[in-house]
Amino acid sequence: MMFNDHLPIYTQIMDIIKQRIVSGALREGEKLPSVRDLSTELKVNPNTIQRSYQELEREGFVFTQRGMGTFVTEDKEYIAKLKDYMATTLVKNFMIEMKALGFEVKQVIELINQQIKEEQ
Amino acid sequence: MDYIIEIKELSKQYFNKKALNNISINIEKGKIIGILGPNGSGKTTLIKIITGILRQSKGEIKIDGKTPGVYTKSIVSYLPDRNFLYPWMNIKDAIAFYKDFYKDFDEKKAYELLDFMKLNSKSKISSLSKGMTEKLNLALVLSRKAKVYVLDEPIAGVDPVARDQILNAIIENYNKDSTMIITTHLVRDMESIFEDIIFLKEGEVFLARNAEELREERKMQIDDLYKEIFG
Amino acid sequence: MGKYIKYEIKGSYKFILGIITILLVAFSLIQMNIYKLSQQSNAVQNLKVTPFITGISGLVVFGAFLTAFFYIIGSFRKELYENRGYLTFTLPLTGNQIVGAKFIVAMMWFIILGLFVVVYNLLLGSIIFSNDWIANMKDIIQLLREILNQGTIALGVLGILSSIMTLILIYFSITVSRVSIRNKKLGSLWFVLFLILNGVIAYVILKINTIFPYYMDINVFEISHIDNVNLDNVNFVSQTVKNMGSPILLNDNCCNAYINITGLITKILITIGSFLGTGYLIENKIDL
Repeated sequence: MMFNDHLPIYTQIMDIIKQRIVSGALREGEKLPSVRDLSTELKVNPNTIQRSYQELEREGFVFTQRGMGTFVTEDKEYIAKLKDYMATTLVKNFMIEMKALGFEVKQVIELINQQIKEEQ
Repeated sequence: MDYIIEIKELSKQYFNKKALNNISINIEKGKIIGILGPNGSGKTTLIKIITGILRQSKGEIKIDGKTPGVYTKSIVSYLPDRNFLYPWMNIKDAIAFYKDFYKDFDEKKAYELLDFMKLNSKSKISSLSKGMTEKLNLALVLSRKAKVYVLDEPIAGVDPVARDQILNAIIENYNKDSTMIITTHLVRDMESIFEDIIFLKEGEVFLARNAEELREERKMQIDDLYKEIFG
Repeated sequence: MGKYIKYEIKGSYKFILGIITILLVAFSLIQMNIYKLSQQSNAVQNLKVTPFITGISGLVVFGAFLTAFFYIIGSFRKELYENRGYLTFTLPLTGNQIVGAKFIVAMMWFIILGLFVVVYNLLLGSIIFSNDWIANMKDIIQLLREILNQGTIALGVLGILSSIMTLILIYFSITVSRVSIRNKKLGSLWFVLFLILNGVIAYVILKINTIFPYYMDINVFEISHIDNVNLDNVNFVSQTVKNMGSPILLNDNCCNAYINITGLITKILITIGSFLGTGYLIENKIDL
């Protein structure tokens, strides 16, 4: 796995896991891969993975059970909130960039509709 | 903090050239540390002093509290950047050799690693390709339960499949009780496994920091930082 | 150290086996030719050929030992100049253990080669000349009885000591030149160093012998001043050496020898010193 962002690796890994949670690839209450497994999968220092898990726990998306591992939160509402939040952030950023390119709101909506048609 | 390696004002001078100039670093237990720098930056010189096959001209170095010697050699597991096994050996001989000389060598683990790397224990060492040699050497070195691992350019000149196997082997064998010191110039391929980074430039420590802190602060990956420093 | 000896043997036995094979072929041919000649009744021709055969045999043995010698020195050099040193010198062994193991294995090979030459020739002789074998053996035992006396034994022991010192001095010279000059091309400088060391040591021992001219009579184990040694009997070679200074060993015309005690001790001490010096340099000064 290549990390090309300007962000530290642990935040990039947090984003990957959050994405897996909101998309349902990781269900509520499901066990996360062990630090070591994810470490080999992503070829990342185990302490970095550990830190991602700790931060995710601090933010309330996962919880740890001693000797059992790390699990996705069972709080469906919280996950939904995260999903909303991530979507809102994406749209916000999108709008900012479109505006920076000089698009009006109307034009943006048109473009989106056009894109949806093409994909269908 | 528990330091496994303490280096104080270390210098190495050859005839007319300073290979290391007044280096002071302390290396903590249980970390994977990347030593980065271009050729001639002093990486190999530093590593050779740690492994006890080169003497400093000035300064002090302590490994687990001892100056390099018979004891430190028994706790340091060294992967040189060259084919260092005796040419008459086959893989089995090499494993027996390690078992005979290193009390911390785990024979079972060595055969598991060979299996994992898809190496045949009957092969003669002189008949192995560059990638296979590198994998065999690494399997031997990692099968020791050493306090310090010193890996000099572990993925140089191997194909991508071997590279992934080697990186996996390194990560899987990492544990809290041992320290891994790794040099590389393939920064992009390896940077994510390092916890701390030491940049060496012209025989001096240019920068020594936690890798994630550096990424956060400089808003770039270590590879980009490397290019910025040495480019 | 025992383990290191094991791997020294594993690394070199094939080469030594090669030498032994060549010796085996050579001596088989030589003995068969002797047998052929002994079947011919031309005694005059036999007499002419005997020195020739003895010469060839000597050359074969000399060649075999020289080859083994160069091989052993070469493999020591390789340790210091080639990649294998990265394995050897990161082993948790002391310098003395490494040099000691190499030395012991080298000596072992020389002894084995020597024993092979003697035993194989006796054995082969016993087969080829089966009818007069017992007579031959009696001759040989008789010859040994005549040759082996205090004088020749002392000479032999001193010879062995000198070979040991030579080998260790070579190890020492190779190591010193490696430690002082990193350049591989100048690596053959060790030979010059070795020659100089040899000269210096010979001179020092001669000087010491002259200052302390006390000789031990091997026959009665009594030490006496050189003036009290009965030099009338001392043989020609020893006499000639004596004229240049006091040698370590004085052999007389028959069966006795006188050994200079301080000279002998100096020689032993120098040998031990260069051994320990080599071990020290290897452990503390080698820069790979």
